[in-house]
Amino acid sequence: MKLNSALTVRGMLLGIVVASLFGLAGCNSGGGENAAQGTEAPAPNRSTTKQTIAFVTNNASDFWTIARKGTEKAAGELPNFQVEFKMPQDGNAATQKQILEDLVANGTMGIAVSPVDPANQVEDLNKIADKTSLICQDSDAPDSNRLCYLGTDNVAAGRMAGEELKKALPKGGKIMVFVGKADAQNAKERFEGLKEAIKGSKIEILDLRTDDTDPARAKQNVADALVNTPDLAGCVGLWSYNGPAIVNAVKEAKKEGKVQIVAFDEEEDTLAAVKDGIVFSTIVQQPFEFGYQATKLLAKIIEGDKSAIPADKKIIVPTQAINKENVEEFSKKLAELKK
Amino acid sequence: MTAKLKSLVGKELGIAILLILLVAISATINPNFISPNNLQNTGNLIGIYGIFSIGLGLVIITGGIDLSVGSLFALLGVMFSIWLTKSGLPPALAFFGVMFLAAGIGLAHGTLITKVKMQPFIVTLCGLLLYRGLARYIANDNTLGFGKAEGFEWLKQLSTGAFLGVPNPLWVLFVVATIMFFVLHRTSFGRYLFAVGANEEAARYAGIPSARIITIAYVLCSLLAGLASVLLGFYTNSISPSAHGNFYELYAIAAAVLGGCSLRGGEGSIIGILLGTALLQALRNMVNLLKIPSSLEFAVMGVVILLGVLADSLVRKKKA
Amino acid sequence: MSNPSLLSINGVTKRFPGVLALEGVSLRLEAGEVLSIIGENGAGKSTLMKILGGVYIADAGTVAIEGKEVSIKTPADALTQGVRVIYQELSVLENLTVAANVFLGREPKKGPFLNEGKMVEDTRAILARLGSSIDPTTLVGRLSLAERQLVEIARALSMNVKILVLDEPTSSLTVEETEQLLNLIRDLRKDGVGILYISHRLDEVKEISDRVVGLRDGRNAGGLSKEEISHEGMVRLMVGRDIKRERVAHTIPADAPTMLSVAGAATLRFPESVVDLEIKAGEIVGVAGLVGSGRSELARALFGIDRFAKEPSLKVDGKEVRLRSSQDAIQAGIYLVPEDRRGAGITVAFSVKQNVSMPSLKDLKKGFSVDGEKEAAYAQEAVEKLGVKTATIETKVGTLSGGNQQKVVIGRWLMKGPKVLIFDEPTRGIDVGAKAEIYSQMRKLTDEGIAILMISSDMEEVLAMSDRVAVMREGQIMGILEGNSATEEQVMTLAVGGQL
Repeated sequence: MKLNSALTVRGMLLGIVVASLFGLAGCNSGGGENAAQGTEAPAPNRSTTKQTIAFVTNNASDFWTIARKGTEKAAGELPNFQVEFKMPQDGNAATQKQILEDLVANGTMGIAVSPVDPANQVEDLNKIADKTSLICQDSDAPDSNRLCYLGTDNVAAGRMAGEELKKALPKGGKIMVFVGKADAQNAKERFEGLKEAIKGSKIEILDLRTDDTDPARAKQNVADALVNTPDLAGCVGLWSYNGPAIVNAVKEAKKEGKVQIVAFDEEEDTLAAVKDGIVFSTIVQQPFEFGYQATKLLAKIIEGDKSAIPADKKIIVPTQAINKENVEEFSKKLAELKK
Repeated sequence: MTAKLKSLVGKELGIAILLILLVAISATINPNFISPNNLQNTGNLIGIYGIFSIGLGLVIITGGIDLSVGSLFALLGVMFSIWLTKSGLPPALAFFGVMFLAAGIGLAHGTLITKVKMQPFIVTLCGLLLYRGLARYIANDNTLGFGKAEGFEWLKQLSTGAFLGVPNPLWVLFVVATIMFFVLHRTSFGRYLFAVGANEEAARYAGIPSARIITIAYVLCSLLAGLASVLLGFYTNSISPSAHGNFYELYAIAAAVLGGCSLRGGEGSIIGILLGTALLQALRNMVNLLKIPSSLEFAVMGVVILLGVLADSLVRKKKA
Repeated sequence: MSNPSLLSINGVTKRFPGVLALEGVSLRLEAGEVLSIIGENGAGKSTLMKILGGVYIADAGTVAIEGKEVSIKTPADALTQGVRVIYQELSVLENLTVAANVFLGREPKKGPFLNEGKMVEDTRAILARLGSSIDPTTLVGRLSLAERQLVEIARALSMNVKILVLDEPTSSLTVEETEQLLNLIRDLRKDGVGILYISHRLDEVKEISDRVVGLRDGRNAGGLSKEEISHEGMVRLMVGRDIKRERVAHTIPADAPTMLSVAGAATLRFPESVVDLEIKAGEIVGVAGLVGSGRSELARALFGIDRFAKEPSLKVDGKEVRLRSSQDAIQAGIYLVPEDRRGAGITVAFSVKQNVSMPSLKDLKKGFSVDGEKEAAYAQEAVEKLGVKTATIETKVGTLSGGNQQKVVIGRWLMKGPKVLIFDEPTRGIDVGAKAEIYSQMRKLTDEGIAILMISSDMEEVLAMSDRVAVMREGQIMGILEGNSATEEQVMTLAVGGQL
């Protein structure tokens, strides 16, 4: 009796899981991927003759929504290709590996990936590179057999942030740096560039605090820093959500203007704060270009033209400092991209 | 009555002492620890965390567990933001929408657990996955937020402001805790919660509608999570569906256990849960203010929770 | 001292905080002897056993096996010395097979792997020796209580025990199963195993024992040789006084109103069988039958815990009642004192007060909250009415003796003014003195016009207490006997499906 009911419950659970998986699969193809297939949605039977290029991100965030627009634009210009846009659910290397293997199994001809953990993914990436044309974007795995890297030079971006900070604090002062995970490659490189740029100035970095990508903790870290160092002169947020978190905490402590802020990326709240003069400047990458250029490059490579790969195998998409002067213009452009 | 008071305080004395010690030591090393600004900051967080920790505490007292709270924050936060900023719902309606959704989810948990007889761990683990996924799907993996709160400034002000120098979330917690203290320790419903947690079979044979009691506990847990989700949403002002509220159920479980709730059910108190919450937040605050490397934060928490529970079990053994 | 005793215990003392559980207790056990230890609950039998089993360590005194003093500090020590204690709460693992249970912790191996084949074969051989044909590959969870006990004994035999200690082994067995167990004990005795037998069932003790030793308040209370063993003698040994066990003739006035009437009730376990039953005010109807005859199922359904398979026509005190939950039953005035006292009767972690007031909290309110003073007074009244022996009403109920725990459960319902009280095995595992008190309480309740349905496997109890005896088999009432004239033979005949 007991056994029976346990089995029934298990059966029901299985049923629910299976049903919901199918349901979700349906939703997903309806909502997500179609959008990435280009503006003129091709008829499904014709699409089978098209070759597939995949764009794989390292997590799910707004940043990638813009990159997706870039891939869509490129797909529109490439009648023989379709683009699959994949975001790993949890920013986990294992999930990403699964996605990559599934793509290869599906006969994907070219992949542009932002590896979650480049140092430890070399072997996995090489296996993928054996079977398809692989490039790295956003984050590089230089030791792997990827054809080339396309993205930001994060050390340079960090330097740019440092230069901006020097402009904001000509007399120097104590600053804090905030990031989600200090061991992430781009966090390390940005921090390195930042330190490089302020070397010799009177700016002193007190500490680098991490929050494991929990926005509430990110804000509390800033609030604690403001309490702890009453004469704090500046804050730098290395990851996108750190910008709004800093703004939020500084506003609550009523220290707008007293604390100079340099942020990264183009979160809405960050841009609004740039307009209000609370954030001195924010260093933006061009994810649209990542998506657009990577797709175009892969299409060329698949068609046999490898001339676009530079000798050092690095295509750098420059970063841009957005401040009070150019923020309006940038916002307008961004709004168009996000449409 | 005094004996009763003594036993009530005695149970939570260990953790209270731990909290006082921690604050005293931190304040000695860094006086900023007890500066008004810092107390406000930390009080704000204690308010938000305390509210949903109490909810989870009730469920733990019945011998259950709710792992879905963190994901619920993401789902409710996403819905709240959409209703306020995209659908332009009146703020009060959006708020009640969140509470209604939360209550419905709690009711679903309770029904699956009591009527279908599924294990709470499994039901809410599936909830953890489901709500996180739904939140991300609905938000299309975009970070949503409240921007400048145009049109619902008063609600944001109510959620993030302060009254008499005390952050509003702490006031909300004060009201919630007072009501729940009364409910848990003074009403028959509260007694039934303990009875069901200590021995559900015996409770049923005493004529207690145990299924209904357990279901109500899950509804209360989700409702309090709903209330906290509004405060948390305004606190961060942005809701990234993949990260918002991640692991928060574990903070609540830790707070409840630190405060004397037994995961086997039948034990716990509101005061204990409050002290547990305060201790966890004070710890986190201490790590930052004493400039302990961020990387050690979880390690410090783990050690203190272990010590707290260890001390508790030693005290118990001595008593017995 | 040519031949030392198999087991000799000398001057064993054990003190717990506030209680002297054993004080200088001595006894001897010879090989091939069955020695019964009798005594009221709290007399120290369990403590003595646990010292032998290595669960407790004695404060003073010695234990010698075959003349050699031994030190038993852990259950493993006990096993090494050839002492095996089978406790009342069986320690078999329901999720493992019979064979796995028998060889738990000593599994035969083939290289690094378990030798399942050998385990199964050896278990089959041991079980055969015990006259059982249980399949060794069955999950223990599917066995009856008696079969599980058999598995425990098989485990003991597989270990070459010299001394077997059995604590209340028959408390949950049917008459047939008990007889089987007693035969088994006789066989073991022939093999030279020394057996310490602990039981409240004096008939069994009389039947099986070579000698009887009494414990009272943690001290030796004397012994009886085989010839001296008698019911009265044993009771005197235990309680130090005579307790009348004869039936007091009792009749219900013919015009007494019917308090409970059930027609066409079928339980989920026996959906094809139908029960019709009437109980008059002031009447005790005993329900006899073998374990598994559907008696407890009927009790649970009448209390609204389980559903009926067929909705009966049910009247309480002349009023039509429908039961959808135990709250409905309580509303109608039907209450149940369940069989599994610790599992379903009391909440061990709660105080006496909280256990008594649990179903009545809604009536003890001041505004929204529970009125502490009202609740205390309410519980105090129940404790006094039933003579519950407890330090205060704040005492945790788990620390009370079984009889007092049972009184707490009865008190909880008594306070609500019951119309029908259902007792399921009201005195299981309760000592003689407390039993008598519970019987007199039941009589008091019927004098107040309450109808009692008493399910019991204790034949003495059924025959002594019942005004009428209903005998059940496979969910059906096979016959109803007049309490004043019913005999054990009649009840057993009906219980096994015979004709009178």
